[in-house]
Amino acid sequence: MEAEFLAEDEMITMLPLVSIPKMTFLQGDYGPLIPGEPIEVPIWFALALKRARKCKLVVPSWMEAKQLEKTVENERISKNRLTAVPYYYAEIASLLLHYASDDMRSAATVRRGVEDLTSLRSSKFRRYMQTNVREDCNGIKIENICSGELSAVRPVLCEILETIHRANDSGAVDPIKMQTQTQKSQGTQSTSIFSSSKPRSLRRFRA
Amino acid sequence: MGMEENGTQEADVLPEDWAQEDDISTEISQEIRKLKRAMLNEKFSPEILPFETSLVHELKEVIEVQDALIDEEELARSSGPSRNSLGLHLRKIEIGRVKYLLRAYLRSRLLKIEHRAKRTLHDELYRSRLSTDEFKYAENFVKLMEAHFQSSFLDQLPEKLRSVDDRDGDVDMSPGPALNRFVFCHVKKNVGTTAISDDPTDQALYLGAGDVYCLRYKPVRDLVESGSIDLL
Repeated sequence: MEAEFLAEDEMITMLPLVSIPKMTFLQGDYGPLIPGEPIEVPIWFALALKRARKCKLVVPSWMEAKQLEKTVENERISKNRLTAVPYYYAEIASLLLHYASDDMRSAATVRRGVEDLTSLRSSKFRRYMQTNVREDCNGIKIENICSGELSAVRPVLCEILETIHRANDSGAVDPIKMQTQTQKSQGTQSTSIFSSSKPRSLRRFRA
Repeated sequence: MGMEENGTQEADVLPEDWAQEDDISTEISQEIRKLKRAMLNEKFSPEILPFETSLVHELKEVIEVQDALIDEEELARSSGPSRNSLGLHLRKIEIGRVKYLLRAYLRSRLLKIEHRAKRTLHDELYRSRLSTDEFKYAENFVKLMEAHFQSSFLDQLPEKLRSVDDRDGDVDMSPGPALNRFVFCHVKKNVGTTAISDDPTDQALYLGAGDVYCLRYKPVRDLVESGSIDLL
């Protein structure tokens, strides 16, 4: 729910159906609203007007059926990285599909497109985590991830990385390991069970 | 492997407030943005961050003034002719959103304080990060918890087992916040090459503006506080 709240601060274009003089808000002035004249406002603002049936929303270009189709296709083609989509795309799409599907030419196609995109991206992301999360990784660069994916992957990924490191760290209090550490400081070859692993290095999300 | 190669092409898909925090917007709107960031950072950081004293104070004032204005207008409207009720409605929504943000911020802090009340009070750094109200709250919380533990089971234990100190001699009995936890972060300004683990043999990481990383909190905690990176 919080992600949706944050997504509502993003801007969207709407076509007012009523005329309202310029209004002063905490976050700036909006208006004047003139019927039929497109104006850019935060999503929460547009949705409030929409609920009162005082405006039509202009679907953002990335959410148009054709554009979505292209994005899904790109997502499919670029096997090795996520494509760039708006950070709150899933939240915005769900809000608009819920409250403003009558302003879309083909809500069903849009809905399907967004679903395709989401499942394509999440399976791709899972695959990358499988190949990129190793015992020696301390940081992963993640390109073009978006809000929903982040909250889905956060508990899993962080937990896995921590468990791996805890397993490694508990090696440090292991008597054998401790011994090898003192040996190491004396310049002797280490024989710890983890010594065979490559030096820790950064794995990038991009393969 | 060039870390810098992914340039700015994704800049236009980032949320509004990821862009530069400058100009056009009013002072209040900047403060609201700051609060939003503070809320998210607080939510995702393993330790309690410094309290945004002036920010919270100013926004509380703004909320009070707005609430009063809205009440006044509502009263005037109920007696006079109805005009621009939609505008009033929208302003109510906006103020509601700011209140929600403020509550979410304070609540995420309370959660951490309750989680480690005693530890927070005993640690000089964390104690200094609390607001006066939070400090009082933490003290009362510790008192209540101790009284509750005493009456519910500690009194029935042998006397030497009754203490609830976090130290036993030299041994620290309560772990501090898990600073080594992994967090997601978004780099706001070019930070450059940064060590991302305690082990100096580990490869450092190039933190370029606009990048998103999953890494340990501890090595970047100063960057969070200085505002160079944001937690996600």
